[in-house]
Amino acid sequence: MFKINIGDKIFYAEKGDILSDVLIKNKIAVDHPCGGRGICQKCKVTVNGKQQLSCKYKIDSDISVTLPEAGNILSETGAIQTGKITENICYVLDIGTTTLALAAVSSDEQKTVRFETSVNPQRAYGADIMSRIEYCRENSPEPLNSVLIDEINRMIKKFSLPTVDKMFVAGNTTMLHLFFNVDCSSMGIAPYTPVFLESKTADAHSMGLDGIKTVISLPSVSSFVGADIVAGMNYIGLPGEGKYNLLIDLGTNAEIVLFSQKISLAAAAAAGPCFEGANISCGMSATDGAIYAFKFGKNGEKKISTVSGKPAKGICGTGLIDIISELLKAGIIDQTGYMEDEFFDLENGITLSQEDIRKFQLAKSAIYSAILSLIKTQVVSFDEISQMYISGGFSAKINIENAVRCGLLPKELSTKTIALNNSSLLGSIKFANEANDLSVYIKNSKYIDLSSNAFFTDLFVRNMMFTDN
Amino acid sequence: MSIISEISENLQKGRLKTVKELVNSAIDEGIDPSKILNDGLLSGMNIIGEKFKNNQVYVPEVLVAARAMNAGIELLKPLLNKEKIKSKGRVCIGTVQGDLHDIGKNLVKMMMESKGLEVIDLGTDVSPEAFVNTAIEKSCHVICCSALLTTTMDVMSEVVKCAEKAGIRDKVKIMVGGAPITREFCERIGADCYTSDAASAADAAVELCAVQ
Ligand code: B12
Repeated sequence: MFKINIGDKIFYAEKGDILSDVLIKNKIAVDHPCGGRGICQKCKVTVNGKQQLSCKYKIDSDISVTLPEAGNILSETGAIQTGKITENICYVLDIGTTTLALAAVSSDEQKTVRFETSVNPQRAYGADIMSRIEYCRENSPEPLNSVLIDEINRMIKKFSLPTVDKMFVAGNTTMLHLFFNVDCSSMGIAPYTPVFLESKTADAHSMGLDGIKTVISLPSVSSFVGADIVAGMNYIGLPGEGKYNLLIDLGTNAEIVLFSQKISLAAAAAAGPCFEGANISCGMSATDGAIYAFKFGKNGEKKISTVSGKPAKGICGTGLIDIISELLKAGIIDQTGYMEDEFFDLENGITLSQEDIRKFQLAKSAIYSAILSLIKTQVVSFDEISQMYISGGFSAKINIENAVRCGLLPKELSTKTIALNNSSLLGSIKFANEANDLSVYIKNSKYIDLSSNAFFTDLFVRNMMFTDN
Repeated sequence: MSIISEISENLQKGRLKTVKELVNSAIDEGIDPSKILNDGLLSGMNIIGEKFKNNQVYVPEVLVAARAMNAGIELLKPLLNKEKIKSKGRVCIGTVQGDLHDIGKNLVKMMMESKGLEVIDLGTDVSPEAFVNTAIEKSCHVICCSALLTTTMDVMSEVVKCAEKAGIRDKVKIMVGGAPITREFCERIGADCYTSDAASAADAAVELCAVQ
């Protein structure tokens, strides 16, 4: 048995134990986006003064571990905190794969009185849904459920409100399974069958939740189009007769829905975690020190903006879009994505590599091509689209012009683009207030499997280039 | 510039029409078809493969180059004496069961073909039995498995077990690849070879075939 010193705490481990397993077991928040495969480099900690990958570090002596500094996640919900605490308060929760957002809503005033965001503690088990499902398959949903419930309780406690009657919950289908402690492993492998899609009502106490009586989840469409997307559509509402709306969730799984009064088509573009900084060499989430905007000045000087104005520590999603667009404009990156130099230096040793650009090309093309595939499949023209909504924690900070230049969003829709932040939370709040009929979004929905779609693969390969824009 | 190097140049730029025209004129000029194939088409594709490995070109360029290569090969096929172009080995390739990602697999296939290997493409969602049965029926030297999902990579260890059960493990090499795969994973499941990109995969497969 060896001693592991972390700050003022001591943990114990057996010889040969992997450090990241010990961290996860003791609920110490270190990111493991690749789920311990040793390829993402994001779980680095300092062991006895030396940087080590915690998922590859085998313990064979007493050690002292220093964790990387934790930053504050800058995730905007778009919910505005204005109302006063009244008699009739309910909670609204959005369980994102990366972030949790909880709002207390006054049903008398139809306003949000408090809200709170937090990192989804399941991150310790892998950044993307697939890694969580894989963990669930190899073990059980229980550990993933219990870290989640603990975190929600902690968030509720922060509100210091008396017990409320109801909590409305949205999230992707996998997150809702884990929230209700239901095995999600069948969604990990084709044909991706979910255990449930319908709205569920449950007794909060028996789920281990404090300060609430009843939990009500919103319904989902399919394994990959969850209640979070249904809530998003609810927030947007149906378009006018004969028109379509588009909703694009710029997350790892990148769900996209094209919907009208008659039909909704949904797809998952599976862009990957590059906008969350996970597979980019100097990538990071939008926390303190993240480069979130970039521009070349008149004389070619680099204009870098970082979160909280702190010294640059890395690049987050919006920064990545800006940097690549500016480099394209300056001709430093050519239309094929090739860059003469191996790296582009930003500041403080933060660089963008050729490999990063290649990763970005995959992600942006996946999203752009999925949008186009849905439009072509339904034979819709750009004119028939009323509005294109983008959602996701960082969507409001995206420079749309740059997103178009680098081929992430179609230029035909650039003037019709609206950023929503957390559309899942906003749509759930609307549902809590108005009890709208959600079946209109689910009844006539079709899931478009892009693997077998006639358009997707060709578009995906072609749009990796930067030419069209 | 000789017509042969012109073929190679144009192939690298993915100019399918020009490549076809040039191959036809080279044939008319009476140039040995196997020379057109090796020094023009395949060598052009090799250069693209190397550039791809070094991140200088990306997926779309490789695919258009491969399309041009295949168009050229089609023209040469009737002229090439089967005996003369000895295949460097036979390989079957596929994306494992439950997985439908095929872009990486297709790149590996094209690079292997450009190295003179004969490649049997089993497509996507391929069961361990299908890999092993093909290897037996078509006497393949190498089985190549691609997987892009963490939930399907374990199928690769089933492929290894299935080959053992069928008693062909000493006759066939198993190569694994795809974004989530690592060298460590390859060793752990008892496969023979892992590479991170398509050009290296083709080189490795040629080597594996040569030692058998
Ligand atoms: C394109 C794509 C798709 C397309 C696939 C189109 C197609 N015809 O292939 C579509 C949209 C259909 C799709 C679907 C899904 N996808 Co997808 N997809 C991607 C994406 C964006 C790019 C993959 C790609 O083509 N890469 C380019 C190629 C060239 O690279 P490569 O395959 O790695 O190949 C190279 C090497 O690995 C190597 N190699 C490859 N094979 C082999 C074999 C051997 C033997 C060797 C030696 C080498 C080798 O050589 C290649 C070239 O050098 C990635 C995310 C990303 N940014 O990477 C997600 C990704 C792979 N997908 C993912 C997911 C989850 C899915 C879905 C489940 C999403 C969903 N909700 O429906 C489905 C599953 C479908 C299925 N059953 O397979 C996840 C996997 C996560 C995980 N932990 O497992 C990823 C990582 C995105 C994410 N969420 O993070 N996807």
